[in-house]
Amino acid sequence: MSVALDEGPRWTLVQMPNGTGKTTTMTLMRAALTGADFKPDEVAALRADDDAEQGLFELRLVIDDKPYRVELHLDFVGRRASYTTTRAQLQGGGSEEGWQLPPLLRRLLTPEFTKLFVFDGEFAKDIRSEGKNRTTRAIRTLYRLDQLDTLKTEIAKLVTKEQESAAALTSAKEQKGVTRLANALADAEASLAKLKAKLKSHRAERSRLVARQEEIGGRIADRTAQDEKFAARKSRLDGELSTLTIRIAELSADSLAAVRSPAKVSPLLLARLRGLGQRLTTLQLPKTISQEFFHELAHATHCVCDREIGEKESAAIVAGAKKYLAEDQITIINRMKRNVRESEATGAEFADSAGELKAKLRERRSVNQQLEQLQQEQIASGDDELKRLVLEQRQNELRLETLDAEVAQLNTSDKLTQILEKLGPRNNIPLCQAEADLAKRRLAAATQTVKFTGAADRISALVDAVAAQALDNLRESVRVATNEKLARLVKGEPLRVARIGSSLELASRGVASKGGVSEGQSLSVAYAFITSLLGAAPYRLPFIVDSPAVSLDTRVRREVGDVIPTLFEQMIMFVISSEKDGFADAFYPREDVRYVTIWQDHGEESQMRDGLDEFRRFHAVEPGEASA
Amino acid sequence: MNFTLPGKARPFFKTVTERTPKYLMFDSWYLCTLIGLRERTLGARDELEDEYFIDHYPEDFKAQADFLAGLLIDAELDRNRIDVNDKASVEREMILLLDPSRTTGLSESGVEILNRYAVGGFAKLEDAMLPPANVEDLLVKYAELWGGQD
Repeated sequence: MSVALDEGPRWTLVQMPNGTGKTTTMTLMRAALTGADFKPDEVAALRADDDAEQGLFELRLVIDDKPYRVELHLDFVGRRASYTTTRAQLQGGGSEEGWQLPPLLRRLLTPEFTKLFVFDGEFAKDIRSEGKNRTTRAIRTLYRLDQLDTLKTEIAKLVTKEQESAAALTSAKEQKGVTRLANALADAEASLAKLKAKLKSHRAERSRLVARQEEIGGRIADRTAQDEKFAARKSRLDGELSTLTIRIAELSADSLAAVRSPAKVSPLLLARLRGLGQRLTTLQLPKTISQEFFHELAHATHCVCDREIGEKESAAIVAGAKKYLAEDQITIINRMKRNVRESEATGAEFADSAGELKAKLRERRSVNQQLEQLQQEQIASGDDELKRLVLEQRQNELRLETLDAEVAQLNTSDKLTQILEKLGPRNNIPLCQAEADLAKRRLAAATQTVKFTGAADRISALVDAVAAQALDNLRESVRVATNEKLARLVKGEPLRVARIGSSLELASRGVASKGGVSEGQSLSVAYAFITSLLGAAPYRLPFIVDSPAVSLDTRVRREVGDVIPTLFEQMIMFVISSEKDGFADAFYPREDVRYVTIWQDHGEESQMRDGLDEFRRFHAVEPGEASA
Repeated sequence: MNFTLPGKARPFFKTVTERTPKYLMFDSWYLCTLIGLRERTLGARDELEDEYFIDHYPEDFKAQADFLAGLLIDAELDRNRIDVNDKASVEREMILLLDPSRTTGLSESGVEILNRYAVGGFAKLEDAMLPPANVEDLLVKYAELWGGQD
């Protein structure tokens, strides 16, 4: 059966006897509005009879002047439900699978919120139940206060992202972590300053000592020259030393040149090279035929033996070519053979040169020993000044060695040396500098993270405060509006809302703040609340209600019938015939009302009539009523 | 792979390298390699430094490139127990070790094997001498290492 309610009437009254599907229609409307999932047994419960294999419920909507059609398909055999949505925006107005209402509505139309305007009678009871918090949730949803929660979630995500990007450098997320890193940086910088000061001091001391050594050397030479007994010997030994030093330098260069030629290092190596050359010659290697020959052959049409070369033969020749040396490889080998063959090396050059070098080094040691001996003799002859100078010279030498070693340790950036000498940030400047640089980067990252987190916390707190204040203001404005409506709905009764908290708390003389109200009063409170809530909302929603007046006494019905119509832009009311008195009849004088009557005839076929006359005339026997 | 020093060679030759301008980093690699080739001793790849120090022969060594290639082929024929009368096997070994398209004339594999001979040679060198204080002491000690090898 199709009932079109979208042709403009502001109020639609659908009269249906009990048991003809009002509750089911409301349930399906809510489902189509929310895209609710159906469990298999819920699908089965909607099956009209055993012959029905499929069911379809279609809800047509106009949202912001654009038509939408949501279809709920029920597969009773597979016990599955699915949706399709038809939108004007789609090309050609085609339908697409799934429930596809606009995103803003998707967020608004939660199952709970939908019960507010596709009105669930249970809401009237729950609205005053502690713990269910329906009133506050309704206000939060309708006025989009939950978007502030989304904002907080986004802030939290940004904080996490910031912390993750800093995590590569530091795990510090709080001020104490920043303090720890600041202390680490201060320690590293203090160490660095200390090491640099030490290096500066060592260098200064070294310069002083080098200058002093020169001075001492000069004074020692002067003292020897002054003593005729030693001067001649000293002069001769100095001359020998000078000659030896020059020769040692020459031999050192010759030996280095010789060692750089393998053929001159050892007769063994020379013999091996010559042996290899001879062996290759014996083997007739390299061959005169090269890889290139076969590559050329592979591309020829005929072999040298005049046989045809097909694809198979060509591939085999190319594969086989890899076994042959390339022309330039042949060149290397031929050059090597020639170089070895033509080499005039004996293999003894390095040994000869190094042997002479060794002898000259020994001679130099001997001359140095003689010079030392000379000095000792001079000191023994009573030259105390010389003794003092020589002693100081030796002490300075030792100190210079120590300083050089320490300067090298402080300065080296060679990784292997750092590892082998077990250097660290407390005794090596490059390592300490690296530690300070890392500490600086970590501190910067942590400071930024903590600053960011702090700012995020403050914004989140502000969002919380705004949300709380907004909720309070909205609650109060809804409460005042609710009470104004209650005053009109239940005239003469002091039924008022004292507070909207987790529930509606009533304050009235003679009525307990919770409980003690009749069903009709509960319904009145619910209507007053819902109309106040929806009336000031940023959205205009229809109000669909099942049996709106059945539990109200006649006087209140008339009040409700007078007041409710003005509260909504569009109302669809499912009524039973007994609600006509006092409620539906309040609409009779109004225009822009559509009346529909739906019932099942004796053959259980659904029948539908449009119009006020049929509506007024129809009377069904409801349970508990005597047959008309 | 390019020329790479044994892991412990750099600190071992540090003093000589720092004090002797004419002494090259390549000299350290070469002195080790020559001993390794003599001994036919390959060291482990993971005992090499992580980074190569040069990708070509320095000027002073360019003329020796063919000799080094020859010593490598000779050592590898011997180490791999290749029948030196088997022409195909000898040729295959040479194809494996030589690559004229590279500036060294050696294949990737050939240079890697030389680097590993350097590791093997350094172990011998380290056993035979203390880190040298000057190039003269190094040359004299190195010559002694070759004494009696004729």
